[in-house]
Amino acid sequence: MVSPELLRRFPLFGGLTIEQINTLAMAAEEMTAEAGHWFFRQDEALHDMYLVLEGQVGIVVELPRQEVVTSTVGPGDLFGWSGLVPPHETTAGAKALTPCRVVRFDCERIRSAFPADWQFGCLMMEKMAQVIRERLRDLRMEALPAYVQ
Amino acid sequence: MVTVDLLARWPFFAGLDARVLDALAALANLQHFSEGATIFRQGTPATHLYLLLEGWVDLTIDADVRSVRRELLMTLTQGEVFGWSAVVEPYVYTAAAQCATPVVVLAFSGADLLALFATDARLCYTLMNRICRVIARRLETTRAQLVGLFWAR
Repeated sequence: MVSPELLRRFPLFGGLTIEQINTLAMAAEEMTAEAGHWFFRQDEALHDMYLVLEGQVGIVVELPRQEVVTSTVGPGDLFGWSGLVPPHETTAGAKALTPCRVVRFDCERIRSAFPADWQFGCLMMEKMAQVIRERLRDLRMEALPAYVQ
Repeated sequence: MVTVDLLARWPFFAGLDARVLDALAALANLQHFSEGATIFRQGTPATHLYLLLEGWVDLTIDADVRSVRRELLMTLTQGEVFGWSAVVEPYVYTAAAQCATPVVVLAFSGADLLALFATDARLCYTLMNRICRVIARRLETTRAQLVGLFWAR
């Protein structure tokens, strides 16, 4: 587990009760990764999600002979939202662009807390929606215009 | 008056119990737009979420800062939910929605939906889950387009 205080620092986890933060903290572990490490590949089953503490992670669309980094996420950002959102299948890969320190969350454990606390489920889904929306905005407003002449 | 039957046939509202469908039907407003009409503009306050019943809706973004050139992101057809920013912070539309044909929609006030969610956390969880799926599909479509453009260079 990680300390609840660590998670509380991040705006991403705002609005959660002490108990809900504790549930997240108990389902979490800190890990480090070297540059080039794949957290997950595209089109894989995923039941973990990640919070970046240090470093930069690239969200990568994999082509036959090439990788395209479509978003870059850094400290305070969440990636691997598919871990929490069905059908739990990644839509892109995630690769450490620099050495990283991240928190990895066991999403099956988090989801198991929802039936006893739907408010927690609701709040987490709202946060996931915000994350996916941000990812979409990055793609439309930065990546897409760069390729449209 | 919007009936429960009108809602229940669409995937976004499938599998919800009668009480919930009644509550949602009571919030829904049937609206008609003519071809070429703008339903909402990019960057404006997201007040309503829409279910497309008939017609085609183009989603576009301003591709340059002076809003001179618009890019077509995708065209939505019946059953699609759009304007979901009405229930996702910071409640600002991420794209513009324009009618490619005459259009019929069910409009839901974001404020009404959020108020309903506040009284029913399980419904909030179920529908926000579906909203995540909608946004995720947009993301996948946009990524596929980007990949296509990348190959075409």
